[in-house]
Amino acid sequence: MTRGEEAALHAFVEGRRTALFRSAYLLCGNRDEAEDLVQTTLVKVVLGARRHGRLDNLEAYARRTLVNTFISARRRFWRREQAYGDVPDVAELSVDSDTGLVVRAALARLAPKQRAVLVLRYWEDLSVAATAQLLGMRESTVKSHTARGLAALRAAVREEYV
Amino acid sequence: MNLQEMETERVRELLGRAVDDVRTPRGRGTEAVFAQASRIRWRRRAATTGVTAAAVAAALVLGPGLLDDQGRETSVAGRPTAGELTSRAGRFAKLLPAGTGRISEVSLLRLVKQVPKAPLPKPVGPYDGDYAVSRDGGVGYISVHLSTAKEVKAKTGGLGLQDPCKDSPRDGTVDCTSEKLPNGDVLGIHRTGAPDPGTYSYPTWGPELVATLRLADGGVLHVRANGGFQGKGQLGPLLKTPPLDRDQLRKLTLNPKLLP
Repeated sequence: MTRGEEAALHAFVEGRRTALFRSAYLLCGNRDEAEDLVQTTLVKVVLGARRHGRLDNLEAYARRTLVNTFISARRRFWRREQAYGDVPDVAELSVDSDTGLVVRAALARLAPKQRAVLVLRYWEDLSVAATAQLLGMRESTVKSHTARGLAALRAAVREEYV
Repeated sequence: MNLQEMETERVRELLGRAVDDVRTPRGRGTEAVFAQASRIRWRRRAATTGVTAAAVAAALVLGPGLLDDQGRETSVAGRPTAGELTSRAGRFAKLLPAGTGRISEVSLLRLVKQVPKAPLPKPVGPYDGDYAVSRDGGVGYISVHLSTAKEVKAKTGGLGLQDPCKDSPRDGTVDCTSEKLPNGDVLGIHRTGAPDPGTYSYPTWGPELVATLRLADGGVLHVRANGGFQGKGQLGPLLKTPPLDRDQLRKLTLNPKLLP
């Protein structure tokens, strides 16, 4: 890898960290875990870029790595999420911070893949086809995950917000 | 804006609120990412590529009866045993405590990656290489790899290695003890924890102890005592413990015969 390519890789890591962290936080719902996820993702991106000597489409590579790392971590049995309490069925939405809390709780109730689909479709603004390709699933599966995810959000947040 | 676009906007807004009140951590910087990537790359090389020079030497020193194209042992009768061979494996066996097991040279790169013709790096130290340790029906490995100061700087992005414990990858280092030696060298010994399968695409490895000796001139000597691996190319079941305990590993790593 040339010096210019190394500099570009540094710039990418520097520039994308915050955006990746926000996506990671939506996926994990936990600040520390999101930070670890971003770190692991960026390390993999650096290793992959150096291994293949390519810098094209780093954005997509990072996004794919982030989501797949998150899903594979959740898949391992010892890290399966446990629900320790119930979130109220109907949230009080008097202030914005409450809304954020309720949305995070609603996301936490979803299966990791459903959560990933919502984040990719609505936060990363990917199409159904692009989401399906990134997650390695059929478009119909993406649509059904989307519908279930939105239904969960609707159940948690008052109807007028969704 | 149609209905679908409105819904997309509203969901996006909701997700935005979910992350709005979360501060982005400032703990780790960009350099931490590159430093970790360099260490992982270095460690992978040490685990596979970096220690494969022994295979060439094995072919030359031990003859074709010991290693076939796969790097597997082919002649039980010809296998070196501790203290009885004149080959390099035999000489290496003499550096080990009695009862360590039957020692023979292999190439972990060829075994693990199943690449019989993989190019082999030039060894730096006289005992650089991988040695299979057969005992109690299982097979473990001891790998020795010496890196020059120049190599260390290149592989750590110019940072070099100061304290083996502090500078080792966090995800693979457990119970690391660091010891500064009178001659200025720093010895770190750690146990390798279960690797993150997302980061490491290796087969399943047995219990492992790793000694890292940072030499005063900036070079680094790595000695890994591994309980074996399960997967294609494995030579036998895993050992229940690493082939050397901490004290034995320390003694071996500090043996000046491992250095040129």
